[in-house]
Amino acid sequence: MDQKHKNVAKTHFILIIMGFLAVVGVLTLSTSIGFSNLNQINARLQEVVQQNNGKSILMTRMRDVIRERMLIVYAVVNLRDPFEQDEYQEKYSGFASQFIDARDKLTALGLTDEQKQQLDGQRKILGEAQVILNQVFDLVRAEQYEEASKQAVKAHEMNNRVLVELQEMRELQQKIAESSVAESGVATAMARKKILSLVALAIGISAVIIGFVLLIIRRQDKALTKVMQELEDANVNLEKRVVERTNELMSTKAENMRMSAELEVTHQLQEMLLPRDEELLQVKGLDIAGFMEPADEVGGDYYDVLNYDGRTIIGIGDVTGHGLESSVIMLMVQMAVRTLAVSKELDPVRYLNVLNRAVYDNVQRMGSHKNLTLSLLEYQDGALNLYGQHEEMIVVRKATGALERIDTVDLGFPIGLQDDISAFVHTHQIQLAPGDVVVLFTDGIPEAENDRKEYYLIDRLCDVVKTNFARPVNEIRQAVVDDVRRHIGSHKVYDDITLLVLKQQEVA
Amino acid sequence: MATIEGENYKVEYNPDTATIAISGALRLGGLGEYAPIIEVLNAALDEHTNITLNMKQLEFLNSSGIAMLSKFVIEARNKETVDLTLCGSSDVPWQGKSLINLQRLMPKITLVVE
Repeated sequence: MDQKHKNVAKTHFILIIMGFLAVVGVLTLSTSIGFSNLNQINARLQEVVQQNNGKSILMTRMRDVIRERMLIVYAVVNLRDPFEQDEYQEKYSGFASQFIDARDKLTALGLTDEQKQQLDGQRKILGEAQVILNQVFDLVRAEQYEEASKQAVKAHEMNNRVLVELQEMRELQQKIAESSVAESGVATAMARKKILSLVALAIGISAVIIGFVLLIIRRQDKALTKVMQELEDANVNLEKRVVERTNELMSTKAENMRMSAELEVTHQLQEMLLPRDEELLQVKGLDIAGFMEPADEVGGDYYDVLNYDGRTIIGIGDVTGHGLESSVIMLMVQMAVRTLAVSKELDPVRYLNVLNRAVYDNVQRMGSHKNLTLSLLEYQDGALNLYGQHEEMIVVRKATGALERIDTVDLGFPIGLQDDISAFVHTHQIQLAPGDVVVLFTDGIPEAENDRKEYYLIDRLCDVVKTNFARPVNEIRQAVVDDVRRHIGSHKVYDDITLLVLKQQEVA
Repeated sequence: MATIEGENYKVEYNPDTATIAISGALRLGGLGEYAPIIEVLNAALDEHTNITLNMKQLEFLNSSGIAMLSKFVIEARNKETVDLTLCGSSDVPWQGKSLINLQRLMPKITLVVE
């Protein structure tokens, strides 16, 4: 494409240059022709004028000479003094040579055949007149004045004929000169025509070139306009796409930032309210180890250990769904459980029902559709009171190594689902002997999936607990966590993993 | 026959038999993502008075999904004229507890557990 354009441009360029050269050539030619013609004409005119002038002068000279000679003769006829007569005769003789001189010069200037003939004729007549004039001088000398006058007159007539002829010649000469001028005029006109036609040719060629150039320019202009338009359209399109894409990216980025900010907040909230290790150590009679690992997108697991007046309240629960809303509800539940503990509410049914009502009313206000499972354990001196609906509670007895799974389905109802759950709250009591182990967990453990889509299941948890129950609580905890992680492998973790291990302390 | 199909699950609503069958594993993130299924359930509520929800093939349902079912049951309960039958499988872990809770929400429910 590029090469084609280059070639076309080159061709155009060459054509234009050639055209320009042609115009210049034609103009030069016409100028030189014009000049040479003009010079010729000028030279000829000058020549003609010169000649004409020269010839006129000479003819006039010849005429004057003849006249003056005549006058001299007339004068002599009246002269009586012989000295004067001689003087005049001398003058008279001088005239002859002057006349010849003029006539020779005239001939030298170039005469037509006719003029030559005329001059010859005149010479004859003048010759005859001269003879008579010579006789006049003789007659005057001889004092025959009358005869002399008569002869003079005769001669005069003859001279007059010459004079007239000379006059005619001069007039003819004038005509010849005029016709030469006319010829020059014609030549000039022709030259002018030639020049004009050459100029016209030059203009024509120029017009063609200009037309050609204009055509090229227009074509290129059109092409350029088209290209510019396409470029502009492409530009506009590009800008539009850039704006769209930027908006897309911005909103994705904003969304990502919002999500990550939310995640941050969620994790912080979860962390903030977990019981500290020192608090766990303060529980008399019970060793407690807790573990919570939030999943990427999930937030909403809850556990707590509260100590008031020798009474320990242990809670574990799971808010449905994930995100900020779930975390906020979890916060509310933690606060409600503590508030009721502080208020020394002893009746489990009331405890859970008040808590449920408070959560339910708030959830309604929030327009949320979330609820939560919640198990509460009251512990004092080895006596454990369990209520609320959540996952199973695992108990391993040191004495027998036997493992019990205590179902909480009938001990409660999801919190926040309806305004009154008092009908569903029941308690389950057990007594812990030293070394007995209790494990509480959220559904993140049994529902943990591996790459083969196999669930961890409570059975496997029970196996691990049963195997490790004799060890200290933190080791039991570690064993479970390791095993769950082993199971999950590299698969995605969907739910928070929460674990509480309790062991009745040995008597000191 | 309205069908909703996702990556791992399928929801089929048969208007003629007023049966909604849900199968697979439902792990959608929040009630927002469950909206299409909620629509199907509500449509069934509008069109019929005797509805069957078949969850025998529903291997897994996350807490948001269970919350969705709870809402559905509360809606059905509030309609007073509706009879609801829930079909489940004892092999599926999550169903044991949840089906009991759903019946507690609406005692009229008929539970068919295989």
